[in-house]
Amino acid sequence: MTDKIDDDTTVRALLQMAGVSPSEEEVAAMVAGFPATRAMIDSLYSMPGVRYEEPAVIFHAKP
Amino acid sequence: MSSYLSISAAAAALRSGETTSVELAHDAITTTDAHDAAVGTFITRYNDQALEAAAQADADFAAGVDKSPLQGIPLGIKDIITTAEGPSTAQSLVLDPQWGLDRGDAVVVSRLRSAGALIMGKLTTMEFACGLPDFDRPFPIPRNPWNLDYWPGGSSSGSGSGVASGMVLGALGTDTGGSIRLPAAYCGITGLMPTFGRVPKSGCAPLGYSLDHIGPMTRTARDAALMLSVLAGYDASDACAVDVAVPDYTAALTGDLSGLRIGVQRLEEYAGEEDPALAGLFADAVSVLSAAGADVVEISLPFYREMVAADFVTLTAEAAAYHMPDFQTRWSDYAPGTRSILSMAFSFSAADFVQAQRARRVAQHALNDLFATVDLIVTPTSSKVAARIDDLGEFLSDGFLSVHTPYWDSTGNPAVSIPMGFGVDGMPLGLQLAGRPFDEATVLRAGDAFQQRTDWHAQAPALGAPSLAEV
Repeated sequence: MTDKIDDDTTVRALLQMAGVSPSEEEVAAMVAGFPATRAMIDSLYSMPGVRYEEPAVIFHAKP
Repeated sequence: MSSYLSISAAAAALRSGETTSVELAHDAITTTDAHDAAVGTFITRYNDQALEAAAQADADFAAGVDKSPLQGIPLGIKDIITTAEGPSTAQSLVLDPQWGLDRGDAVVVSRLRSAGALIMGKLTTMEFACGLPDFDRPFPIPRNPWNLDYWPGGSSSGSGSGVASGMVLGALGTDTGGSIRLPAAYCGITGLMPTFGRVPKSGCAPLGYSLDHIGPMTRTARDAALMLSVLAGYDASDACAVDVAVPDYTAALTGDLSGLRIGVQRLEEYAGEEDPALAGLFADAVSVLSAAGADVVEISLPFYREMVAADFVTLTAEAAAYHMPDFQTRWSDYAPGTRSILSMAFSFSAADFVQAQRARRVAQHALNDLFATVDLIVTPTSSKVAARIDDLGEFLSDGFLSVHTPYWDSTGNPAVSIPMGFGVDGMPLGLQLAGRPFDEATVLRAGDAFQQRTDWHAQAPALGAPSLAEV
């Protein structure tokens, strides 16, 4: 994930999948920030107590 | 500038006959005429409609009709919340203006209007309450009335600058990662983010569905209590609204904090750089709370970094869902700052989003345990003063480290920012007080007790001083 070529490929694939077309400058910024963003997200999987926790989502059977 | 700095003072003057609502409206209009071009507070002004409402308020007073303490008071509305007078822009080229027109008044605006308040107009924000000020878009650049070279904070930028400069006596802001509390801190005013679900948010253009809060921005905690008394309460139009009894917020403002235990953390380990004045001002502020009768103890917020991350993941993912069709077809119509922040959502999976919601629940449990030992938690709102407008790109890259607001959006607890002094270049710094869910009364009680013993909230910027860039 932290390899520069892999990050570039990954980010471009994610953007293509989302159907958005940022400028090359914007893509470069996203690629540069991608490792830190992923590390931040990955930290949410290692919180003590999170393994068996329910998500804080809202759903009611009646609209 | 208006001769009345607070809603409470103006409300008393209205009832004593010292002033009239029409006079207050004219004061607000005159102050806005004088300073709005420089400060960038309003997107749209409703002078004629406000003057009509003011005349009605005066007629009501004369007839013995007193709807609420907000009767006859000039207020402003952040331009992502709909009003019947005209379209809402969300400060964006993308939002269909017809959306707001079709909706009419948002629930909160309807409640303010029914309480007799004057709606002076729509106030500047950042695009969809996200992004950064953008000189290339046809919208005003919001500036800080304490120094026009500085940002007023966001995204409730005009709400902060409008109250600080006296253009309005109170305003509605919204808070998804700190957008009420941050401009309140940077502009030297009071900003309350109520508990998630306490104030209906229907009629507000969404940023993060499970994070968006509407709340009051005022000079004082007492004024925030007055506004919250009108704004709070269940409404079925908001799926997130919670049907919880609304207490008498002003009755809680005793000035005495005896019996309260307050947890304190300066959060310097997370802040990166601190303003040189922050440590001293924060220690002084804690001493004031102690002198008011509170028992003060050091605490450590559980899962601080994780809740900042959860706010970021949730906000961007929920916003991306709302914006995706326009992202795909109108990417360049969004401002670069908005694109930069919200495009982070493309780095997340659906599992990551759900994991952020599981993380929020874990932190809520941990906070619940902490709030079994303390009644309030106090931190700085931000460890630094506002950024200079020329430095906002830097703020976007690492300035967020100094901002301590997103934690409470993730957990949903109520939190207020109140002025606690001045840092670099005489710019304001804020103190943040957070409480248990739906216990805004205790949060406001502490804020009011602090303000009864200090005068930071009573200080106003000397508008008309030249911009540093002009010297």
